[in-house]
Amino acid sequence: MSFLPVGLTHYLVVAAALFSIGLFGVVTRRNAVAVLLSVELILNSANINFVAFSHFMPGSMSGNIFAMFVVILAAAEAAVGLSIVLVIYKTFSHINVDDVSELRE
Amino acid sequence: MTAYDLTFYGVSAIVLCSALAVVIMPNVVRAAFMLIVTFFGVAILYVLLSADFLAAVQVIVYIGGILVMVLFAIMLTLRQGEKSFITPAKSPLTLVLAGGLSLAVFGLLFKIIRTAPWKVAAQAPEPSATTAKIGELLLTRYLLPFEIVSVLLLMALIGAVVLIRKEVK
Repeated sequence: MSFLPVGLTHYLVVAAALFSIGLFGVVTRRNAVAVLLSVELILNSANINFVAFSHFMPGSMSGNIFAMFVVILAAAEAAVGLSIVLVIYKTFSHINVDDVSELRE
Repeated sequence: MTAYDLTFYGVSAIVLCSALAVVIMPNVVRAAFMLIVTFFGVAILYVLLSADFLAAVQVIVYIGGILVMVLFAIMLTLRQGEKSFITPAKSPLTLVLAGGLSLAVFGLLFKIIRTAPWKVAAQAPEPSATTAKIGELLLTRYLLPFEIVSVLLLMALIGAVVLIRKEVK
């Protein structure tokens, strides 16, 4: 892998780094909204991969279409996830994911 | 070094730095605003990959839709007179373990990316408009997934309303 010119692998490395950062956020964040933000980072990194493959394999648009479906699913996930966060807030008056462990006991 | 390469490296640096800020900043509101920068950077990466339609979708859906929703959620879960959007960080041991895990995952992915024999064109294709092609494919080859995903969006909408409505006795 050379640094220039920018090719498929460069985009894949950026997406992998974004995925790792999102993973770090999901594991370390305590605020439920912040965990959802990190999940969005991970979805975006997957999308970069889809679009990069679609671009560097001529004649194929499947990656673009799939990335669009991922965006739609992310919107649905955010809507349901945030409403779950609001319900957690109504029940516990906080949104600290570490302390929401009623089902474990 | 061409303008394309320069743009790629600059935008990638912005994307990764703002993403790091999103996961590190203790204030959730600031993290959400840093996420705007990340999403804009990813949209520019889509433009570099000649996916013009997806770049527009990224800006409209993510920045115009999801982030506004996130900011509303932060506002609604804010306790009066208390800075509940600043949550204490986890213990240093957890941070180190999580950092090690992320770095290990990144190392693994990097090794795979470097060694895998990608069957791609030697020369990147000329950029062309994708909107017309996507529209055509959505109404022919991908018609069924398109319809299913619209039903799923409706389900998510109704599900969200059912989850947060007030109980009526």
